[in-house]
Amino acid sequence: MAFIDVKKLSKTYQMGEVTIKAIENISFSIDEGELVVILGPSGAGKTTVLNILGGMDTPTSGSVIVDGKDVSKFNKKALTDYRRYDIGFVFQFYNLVGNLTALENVSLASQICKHPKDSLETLKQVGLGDRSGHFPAQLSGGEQQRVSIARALAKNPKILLCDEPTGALDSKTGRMILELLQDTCHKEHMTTIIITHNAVISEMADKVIKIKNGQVDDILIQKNPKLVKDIDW
Amino acid sequence: MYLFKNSFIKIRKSLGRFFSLIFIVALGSAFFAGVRETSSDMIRTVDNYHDEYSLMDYRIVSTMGLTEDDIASLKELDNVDKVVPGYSFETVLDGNATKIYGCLNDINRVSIIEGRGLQNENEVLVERGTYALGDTITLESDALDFVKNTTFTVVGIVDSPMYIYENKGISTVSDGKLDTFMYILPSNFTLEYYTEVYLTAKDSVSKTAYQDDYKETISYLNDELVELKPIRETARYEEILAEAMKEIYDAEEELNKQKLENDQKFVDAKKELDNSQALLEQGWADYNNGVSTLENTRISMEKTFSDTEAQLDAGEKKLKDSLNAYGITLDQIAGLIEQINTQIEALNQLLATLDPSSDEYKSYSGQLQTLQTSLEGVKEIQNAQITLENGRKELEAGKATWNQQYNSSLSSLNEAHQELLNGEAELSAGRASYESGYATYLAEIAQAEQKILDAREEVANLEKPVWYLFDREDNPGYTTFIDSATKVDSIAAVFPIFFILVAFLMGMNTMTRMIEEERGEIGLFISLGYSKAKIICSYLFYVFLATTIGLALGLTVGYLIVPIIIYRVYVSMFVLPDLEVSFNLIMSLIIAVVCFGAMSLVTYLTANRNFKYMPANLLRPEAPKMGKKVFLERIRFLWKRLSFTWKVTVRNLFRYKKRIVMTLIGISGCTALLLTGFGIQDSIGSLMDKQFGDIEVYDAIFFLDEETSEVSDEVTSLLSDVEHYGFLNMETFTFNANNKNIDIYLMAFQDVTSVSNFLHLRSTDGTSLTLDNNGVILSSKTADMLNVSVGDTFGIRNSENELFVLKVSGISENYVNHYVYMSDVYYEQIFGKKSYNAVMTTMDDSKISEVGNSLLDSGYFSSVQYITDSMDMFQDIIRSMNDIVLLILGFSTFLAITVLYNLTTINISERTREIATLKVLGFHDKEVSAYVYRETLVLTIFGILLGLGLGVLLNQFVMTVAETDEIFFVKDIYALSYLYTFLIMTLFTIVVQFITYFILRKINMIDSLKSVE
Repeated sequence: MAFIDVKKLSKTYQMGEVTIKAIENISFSIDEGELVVILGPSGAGKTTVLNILGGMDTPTSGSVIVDGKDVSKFNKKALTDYRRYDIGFVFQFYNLVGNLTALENVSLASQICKHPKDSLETLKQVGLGDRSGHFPAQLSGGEQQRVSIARALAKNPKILLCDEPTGALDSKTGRMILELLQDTCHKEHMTTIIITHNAVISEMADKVIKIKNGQVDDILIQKNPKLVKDIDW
Repeated sequence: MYLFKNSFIKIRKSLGRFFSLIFIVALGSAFFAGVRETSSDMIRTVDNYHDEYSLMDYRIVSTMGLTEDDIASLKELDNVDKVVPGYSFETVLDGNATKIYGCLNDINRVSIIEGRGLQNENEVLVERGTYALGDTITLESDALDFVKNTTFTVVGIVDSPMYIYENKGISTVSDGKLDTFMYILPSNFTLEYYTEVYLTAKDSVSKTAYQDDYKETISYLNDELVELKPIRETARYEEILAEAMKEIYDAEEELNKQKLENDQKFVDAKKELDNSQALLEQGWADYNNGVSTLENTRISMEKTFSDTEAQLDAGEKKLKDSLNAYGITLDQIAGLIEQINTQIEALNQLLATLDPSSDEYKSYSGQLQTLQTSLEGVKEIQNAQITLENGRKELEAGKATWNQQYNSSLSSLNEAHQELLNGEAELSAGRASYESGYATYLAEIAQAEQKILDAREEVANLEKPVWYLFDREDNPGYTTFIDSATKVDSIAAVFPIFFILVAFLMGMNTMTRMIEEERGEIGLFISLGYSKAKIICSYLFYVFLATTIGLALGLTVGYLIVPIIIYRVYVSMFVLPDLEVSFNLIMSLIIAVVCFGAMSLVTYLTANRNFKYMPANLLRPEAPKMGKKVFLERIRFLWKRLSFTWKVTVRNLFRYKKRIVMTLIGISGCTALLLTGFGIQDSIGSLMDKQFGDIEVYDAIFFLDEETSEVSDEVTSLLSDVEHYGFLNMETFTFNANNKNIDIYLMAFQDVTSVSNFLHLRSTDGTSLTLDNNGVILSSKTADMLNVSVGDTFGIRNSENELFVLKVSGISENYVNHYVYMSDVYYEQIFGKKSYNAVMTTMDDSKISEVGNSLLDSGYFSSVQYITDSMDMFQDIIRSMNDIVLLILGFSTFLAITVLYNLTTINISERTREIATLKVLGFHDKEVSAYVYRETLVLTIFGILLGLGLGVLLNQFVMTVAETDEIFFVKDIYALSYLYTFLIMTLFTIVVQFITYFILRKINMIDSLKSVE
C-alpha cells in the first residue's frame, strides 16, 4: 500500500444557491520519499487538494490515507495534531513572522514538535547558517523562502507540502529553492509534494499529477526525473 | 456615488468595527455631556420646585410672637413681595418630635402626593412615609395651648419644599431633632399672635436658586429686614410692657375694690356677732330672773299652803274641841241634827198642844229654846266642818294649780336654757367661721398683693423680644443639596475629559487600522482616477455616520439618562421631585464639533499619509514592519532566561509601539478611574474615622439655656450621670481666606486639663497639644488657608464685624470644619469677659439618649448636638459616594471592555495572516490564543500598574477639587482598594480574552495562503 492514498476525493462548496465542485473524484497515490508535482492551471482545484492533504480542509467525500490513517475522518483536534507532527508547509508568500529572526521563525515551528531537528542545523542545511539572526525584512525573497523551508523541515514532518514555492520569486532564485527541495527529498527520503502551475517544474518530479477542472487529467511517472540544474528554463 | 455605496458596504461588512466606533463616541459623549449637565439639571429642578410651591425667601420667628402690626410694617418694606404670617408648634407625637404647621396657600405650599388638601379643622396632611390616609391622629393635651382641636384624620400625604432633606433640623422637643411635620388648617390655632412670618423678596422667583443673582436679590430685602428688626423688637417690647403694666394696674384696682367691699362685710359680720352675743347675755339674765322668781313664788306659795293648812288644822282642832264639847264625833253630827230636829218637831207639836202660857209650855218652850240653841250650835259645827272641808279642798286645788303652774314655768325655763345654750354654740361657730374667713381673706389679699408684686418684678425684668431671621440656607438640606451638586460638578471637571480622550484615541486607532487595511482599495480608486478629496470623503462619510449615530445615542443617554442616575443617587437622601432633564444645545454643538473635528482630522491625516505613495505601491501589501532587536535582548542574562514563547511575546510587544501606547492609556485610564472611585470612598471613610474616631471623642455638646447664664450647682448636679463633662464657651466667628468669609467655631474651655477627655488635639506629626493661656490651637486646614504657623497671629470677626486678633500657639490635625480652641483665661484676655454657654460631655453609649433627654427636660439646657448626628451626615455622604463610585465603576467597565475589545480585535485583524500561519503550523487553539493573550496580558498588567500610579494622582486631584472650605480630605487610598481595582481590571481582561478566543477560533487557515488580505 502506498504511503499516501487518495481515493475518489471530492469537495463541493455551497455558495448560496450555487454548488461549486472544486474537485471531483480525484484519486492518486504517492510512495514514501517520492517527489510529486501536482500540476494544473489556476482554478483547477490543486489548492483544494493541497488544503485537504495539509489537513487544513476536509473533503466532502472520498478518503485520504496517509501512512495508514484516514485523514479525511479526522476531527479538528486530530487535524491540528496531524499538521503539527506530520506536515511541513512551505507557503508561496513564505509567511514568516516579521518580528522574529530567521532562527526564531524556525524555532517557532520546531518548539511544538515531538522530535524536531535542531533549528540552527536546519538553517545551515538550507544555507542560511550565517543569517540566522536576521529578520525577514533583512532577507531576500529566496532567503525568506529558504527560512520557510527550514521551518517546515525542522518539524521533521512525514510530508513536505509546498504551495507554489517559487511563485513569488525570480527564476534564478526559484531554481535554487527547487534544488533545495529536490536535494532534501532525495537525501532525507522526505515525501515532498509541490503544487504549481508551472509545467517546467514537473520535470524534476518522480510523479506528476495533472489536474484540470477539478479532476485528475493524467498521472505521469518519471523513472528518471531531471535534476533541477539540468532543467532547461 | 459609488464611493458612498462602497462605504455602506464597508459598514455592512465590518459591523463590529462600525458599532465599536459608534459605541466609543456614544460612551465618551454620554459621560461628558451627562455628568457636566447634571448639576445644572439638579439646580434647575430644585429651583422650579421652589417656585412652583412658592418657597419663602425669609422666615422670621420672634421669641414673643408676631403681631398684626409687625406684619403691617413688614408689608411696607420696599423689596418685599409676599408677607404671609403663619402658625406652628412642636409636640411629641408617638415619640416623634413633630412640627405642626398651619397650612398656607400662597407660600411654602405643600405638594400633595396622595389624597387631597385640607377642608376642615379635623383634617391633617402628613409627611410622606409617616402615616397612611385615613389614619387618626390625636395630639397630646399640651397641644391645647395652641389649637382647639386635637384629633385629626389624615386626608393627604405631602412633601414640603421646606423639608427637602432626610434630616429635618432641630426641634425644641424630644431629643432635639425634628422627626416629622404636619399641616392643619390655620383656623384651628387659638394663639393670639403669629408664631412666624414668611416673606418673599421682590423678583426672587425669576432668579435661579443658589445663584449669585438670587443671593443679590434677596440681600436687598435682608438689608431692610436687618434695619426693621430692632425697631419691631422694641415696639413689640413696649407693647408687651404696656399690656403687662395695664394688667397690673387693673389687678391692683380690682384688689383695692375687693378689699374695700370685703372689709365692710367683715365689720358687719363682726357687729352682728356682737349683737347676738348681747342678746344671748340678756337671755341668760332673763332666764336667771325667771328661775329665781319661780323659786321665790314657790317658796311663798308653799308658805301660803302651809299657813292655810295650819289654819285648817287649827279650825279642825277647834271643831274637834267643839265636837268634843258636844261629845260627839263628826260622824254623829248629822244624826244629832236629825235627832234635835225630831225633838224640836216633837216639842213644837207638843207646844202646839200646850197652852203657850203653861209652864209645861213654858218648860217645853224653854226646852225648845235650848234645843234650838243646840241645834244652831250643832249646825254651826256642821258648817264649820263644811267650811273646813271646803278650805282643805280649796287648798288641794290651789296646790295642784300651783304645781301645774310651777312645772310649766320650769319647763319653759328649761326650754329657754336650751335655747340659750344653742345660741351660744351658734355664736361660737359663727365666730369661728368669721375668724377663719377673715384669716383666709387676709391671706388672699396678701397673695394677690404678692402676685402683683411678682408681676411688677417680671415686668421690670422683661426681656426684649428677639426676631430671628432665617433664609433658605437655614432650611435643612438646602445647602447640603448645592454642596452635592457642586461635588458632581467637580467630578464632572475631571472624569468626562478623560473619557472623551480615550474615545478619541480609540476612534483614531480604529480609523488608522481601517485605512491601512484598505490601502489596496485606496490605491485602486486612485489608479481609477478618483480624486483624493473624494476618497477621503468616503472615509469621512463613514466616520461621520458613526459619529453622528454615536453622538445622537450618547447625547440622548447623556442628557436624559446619566443625570437621572446621578440624581437618583443624591435624591436618596432628599425629598425632591423627579429630575427635570434638559438638552443643552450649546454644549451638544460643542461636543459635536469637537467630535467631528477630531474624527475628521484623524481620518484626514491617516488617509492623506497613504496618498504619499504611488498607486502601484498602495496596491501591494504594506511592507512588513522591520523586526528589531528589543532593548531587553541587550540584557543577555535576562533574555537568556526567557522561554522561547516569552521572547516572542516581548519582541511582539515592542513591534507596535502605537498599540502599546493605546493599550497603556486605555487600561491605565480605566484603572485610574476605578482606583479614584475607590479612593474617594476611602478618603471620606478615613476622614470620618479620623475626625470622629480619633479627634472628636466627645459624645454630645449641651447648650445652656440663655437663662442658665452661669454654671450653678444645679447644673453640675444634673451632670452627675455623664462620664466626663467640661464647660466651655462656644461661639461662631468668621475668618477671611481666599476672599471668602468662612465660619470658624471658637471653643474656650473652663478646664483645659479636661479637654483631652473630649478632643484629642494633636499636631499633624502626632504630638499631642495642650492649651495654654498665651494663645490658641488652630485647626490645620484653617492654618493652611490663613497661611499662618505657630507664633503668628490672625484675625476673626464676630457677627458685628468686630475684629479680634489671636495668637497661634499650636496647629491641630482636623478634617471637618474650622476650629479655634483656647483657655477661658486667654478668652478673657481677648474678649474681656468669661462666660460659658455649653458643656461638652462623654457618656456611656447606652445611656446617651436617656441622659440627653433628661438634661433637655431639666430646662437648664436649650439644645444638644450629638456627635452621632454629625457622623450620620457623613454616613449619608459616604452612602451617596458609594453610588457615585458605582456609577464610575459602571462607566469604567464599559470603557475598559470597549478599549480592551477594540485593541484586541485590532491586534488580531492586523495579524490574521500570522495567526493563520500558526494554525497551519499546527498550533492548537489554546496555543494560538496564548500567543496573542500573553501580549495583551503583559500590556494589561503594565497598564494596570501604570493606572494605579495615575489613579493616585487622579484621586489626589479629584479630592483637591472636591474639597470644600469646610472639609479637608485625607488623600489616602487603602491597600484593599488597589487590590480591588487590580482584580476588577484583571476580570475585565479575562472577559475580553474569553470573547477574543472565539474570534481567534474563527480565523481561517486558508487565509495564510493568500498574498494580501
